[in-house]
Amino acid sequence: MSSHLRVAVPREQTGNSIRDSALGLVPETVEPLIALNERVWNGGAVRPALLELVRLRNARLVNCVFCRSVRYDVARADGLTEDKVAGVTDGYEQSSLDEREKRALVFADAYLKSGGELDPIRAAEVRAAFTPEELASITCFATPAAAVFPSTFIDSRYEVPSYTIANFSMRFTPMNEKWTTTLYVNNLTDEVYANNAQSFGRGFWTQGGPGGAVGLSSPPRQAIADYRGRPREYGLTFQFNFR
Amino acid sequence: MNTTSITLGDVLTRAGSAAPAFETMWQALWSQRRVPPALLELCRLRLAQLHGAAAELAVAHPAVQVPPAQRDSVIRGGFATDGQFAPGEVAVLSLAEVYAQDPAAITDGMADAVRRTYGDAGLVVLIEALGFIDGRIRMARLTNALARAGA
Repeated sequence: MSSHLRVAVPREQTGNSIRDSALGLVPETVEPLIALNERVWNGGAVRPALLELVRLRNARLVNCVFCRSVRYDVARADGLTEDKVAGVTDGYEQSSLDEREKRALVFADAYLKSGGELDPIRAAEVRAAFTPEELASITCFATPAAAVFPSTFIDSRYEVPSYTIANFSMRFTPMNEKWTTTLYVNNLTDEVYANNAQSFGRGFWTQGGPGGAVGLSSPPRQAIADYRGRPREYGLTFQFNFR
Repeated sequence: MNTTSITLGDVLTRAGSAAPAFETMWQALWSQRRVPPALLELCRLRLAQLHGAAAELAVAHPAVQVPPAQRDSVIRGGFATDGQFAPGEVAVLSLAEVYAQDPAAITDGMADAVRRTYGDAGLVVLIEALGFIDGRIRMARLTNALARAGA
């Protein structure tokens, strides 16, 4: 693999995960960002556990592996459970999340997926679920949560090494018969390979533990996540033409 | 009256102590000097154009002046070829254009083109600013949608 960091991080490390990231290269904006991060978690009208669901929905939609793996301490202390987190899927309307939590995810989806557009029916449902103060709080939270995430793209993505896999299949179709059977083996040699990779090195979300404006329940890390391609698979298919 | 990224702060005053912190961050992006605020304003207009946010396009940042010809060039999408902008400015606007559609598609080359003129700190400011500009445009539209639902 080859890679390079697009920007350096500050040479002087202060123990604050935001200030010590690439964002710390700009003191005139990192200090207001630190203050904002602290206030949105501790000074808004919405409980941290609900905000965390919105953040995790954001992380899922933008496919940030690291963002999805961390949990804010204040959210856990506020009662966030992994059962709730498990509800933050594309089928959340059918999940065990309560109605306010589901409407919060509708709000997040409208912000992230639809550019802020929301049909009148769903907009009315969101309005009914939250007070104006709560909606303002979620707004103050969701905007920087999505804005800070792209700072991880200040790190270069990595190249996945090339790979070769062999697939085999054999089909048998008897003459004048309506059925076909196929024997297949994918990845014949059971090659171990990565077909995708994501780096999360040195950005804001990579440093957890004490010292940050808000605690993150994860150890400090700088790593690359490789996604393994499928191992050897074999099977038999049967197809019948009913016509 | 439609809310825009420029006026969103008026709506957010109900967010308690998070609201002034949010506005302080917003103002910090417009008062820094690593990336010219006029260039950020042009990025805002380009993002607004890509979002189809008519209300956003109709307003101007009250503290930033941009030449009308440059404004028209950005809205029209001709900034890369019509000679109105220096290479560094084209790099910023090009990155903003990709950012609006898919931040993951920003290449090393695009980032390097920004860094050549504005440095590492400038690239950081640009991405932060695009995040907040894009976010506030989206939130303003969402705020308007919610307001219409209550009308």
